[in-house]
Amino acid sequence: MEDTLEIMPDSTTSDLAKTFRTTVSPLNQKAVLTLILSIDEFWLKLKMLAAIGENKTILDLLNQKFINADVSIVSKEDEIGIPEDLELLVDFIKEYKIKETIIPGSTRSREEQIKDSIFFLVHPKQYKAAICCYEGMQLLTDNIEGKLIESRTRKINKKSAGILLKFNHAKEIKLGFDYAKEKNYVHFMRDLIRQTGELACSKFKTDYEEKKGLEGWELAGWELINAIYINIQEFPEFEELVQSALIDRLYDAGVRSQEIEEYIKRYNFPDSTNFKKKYKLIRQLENGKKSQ
Amino acid sequence: MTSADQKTKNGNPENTASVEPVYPAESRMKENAVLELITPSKDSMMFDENVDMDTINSAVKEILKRKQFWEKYALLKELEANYSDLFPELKQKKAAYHLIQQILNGEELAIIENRDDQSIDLDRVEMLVQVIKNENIKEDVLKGAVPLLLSDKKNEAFSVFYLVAKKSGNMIDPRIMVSCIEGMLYMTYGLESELDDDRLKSIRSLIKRFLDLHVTPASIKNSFEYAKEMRYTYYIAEIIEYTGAMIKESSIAAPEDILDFVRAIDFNLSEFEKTELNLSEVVDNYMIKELIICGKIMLACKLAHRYGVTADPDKKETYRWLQRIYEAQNGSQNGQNEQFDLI
Repeated sequence: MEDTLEIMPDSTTSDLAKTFRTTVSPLNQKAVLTLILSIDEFWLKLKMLAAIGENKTILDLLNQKFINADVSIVSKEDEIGIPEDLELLVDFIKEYKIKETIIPGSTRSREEQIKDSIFFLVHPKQYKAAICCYEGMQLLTDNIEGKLIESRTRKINKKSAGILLKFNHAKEIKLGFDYAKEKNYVHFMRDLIRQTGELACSKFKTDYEEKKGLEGWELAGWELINAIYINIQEFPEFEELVQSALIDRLYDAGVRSQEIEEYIKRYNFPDSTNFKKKYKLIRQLENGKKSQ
Repeated sequence: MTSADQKTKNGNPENTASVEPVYPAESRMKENAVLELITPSKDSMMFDENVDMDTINSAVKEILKRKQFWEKYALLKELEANYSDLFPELKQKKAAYHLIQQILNGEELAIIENRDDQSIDLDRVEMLVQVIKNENIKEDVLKGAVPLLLSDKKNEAFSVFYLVAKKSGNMIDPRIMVSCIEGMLYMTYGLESELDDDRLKSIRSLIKRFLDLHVTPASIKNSFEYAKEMRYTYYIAEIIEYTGAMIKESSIAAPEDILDFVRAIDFNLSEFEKTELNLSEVVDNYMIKELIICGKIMLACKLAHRYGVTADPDKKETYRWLQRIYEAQNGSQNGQNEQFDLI
């Protein structure tokens, strides 16, 4: 989280905004605002507006960019996304709760002027840019199910799936997941965990059920699944997902309970977690059976 | 080099056409021989106290019959200084003004030429700039300066400054060009809507041609330092505006060059007397605000203070807050990246 923009006014910036409002004359406030608005660099302008709590102006500026499908705020002439700028756009839409419905053509009532979101339009050449686009598209459509026209939802889902599919090898998964974790991009993290679980388990199944004895598949499975690392005590909201999408899948795929127990340790689950006890019990039962 | 040698060199295009103009650092005004000539004596002369207005009026007429412009002008100023209490009532109270007007309308380049070789004399050009400012001579005193019928164009007169600049172009001591530009700018300032369009365009084009040839930060610095010493506020305003445009261009093409242009302009507003031109507004609008547009917030705030723009309490508060907001949201790390060492 080192480079994440702190848009939400912390105590310092909040105090700053308050002092600005209360101690500076309206005329000088206007002069400062005019100077800030004159700044060419869009993100510097937005960050400075955020510092003095000019929320309405920020919303207006951001909405305008989405309405005009202005990808220049996150890309250069070639429309290839710049990760640093895309990160800022993700941070701002998260903070200001901007949704896809503000964009012309996203809902039935405004279908006549079709525009796609900046995250959809920009070309995510670099993996960080791709993850930002994914997260951005998810944030824009989160909790507005049913409001968007179906064709739009399909388009967004297709593009999102395309991005996610790029992360199908251990190296990419690790890079992508670590980056998303650092930026707290929970949508991408969740979906990558699900996809990796499926991919890895298909490898284990191939190994155990269809091509018994070919250890390479099992190794490939472990490589994929080990690319995901998360400390559950830091991200407690992921406890259930890790259990269902990774651990239970391993068990279903036939991975031995002793290995599952080892695997569980890396997530640093709280001791009270039930399934830890469950797999321990299964392992003990298996051992008991063996000794018989 | 003697003063005479210097003058000859100034006036000789062959000797002065260099890539990078050289502006000597010594004070020009102190050594200007023409200034000495036209400055009224400090010690009050032993004039007859009973001189009446008729006597002075007739003396003015006699003075105007003399051949040398600077001699005439000097005598008129001497007279004016010694009989200042009488002068407002005199018929000839605008004698000096009319004299300049007449000279300009006659396009008499001789008043700024060296007698020996008819090259342009820097001292005289500089003094003429001071004189037109002292007498408040503007472009509209010239024939045909305000829109006129095309058939009358043949009577049109241009200022000596314009004629020199047009004739000499870049093949002249740049200080002469800077002085001529100051003269042209002063004479046209405030009359933009009244003057003939073609005339204004021609003047602007001459000025732009000179500036375009001196576009490097080093050239800007040199001419700025000379203009500062000569108190050429109109040229200073022009070069500030021009530098602002260079900053804008640099911010797109070569952001690292911005600081070089900023370094070229170094001054404090408090060193300048207030003129009809608001230098504070000029530097604020064309340099500081241009830097803000480019995102160089810390540099802009620092310069606003250094130039003396923040002497105005409102501006002080505005820039103080702008800096505070920038620092709050960007942290000190980004601020440091803007490079604070201007010199």
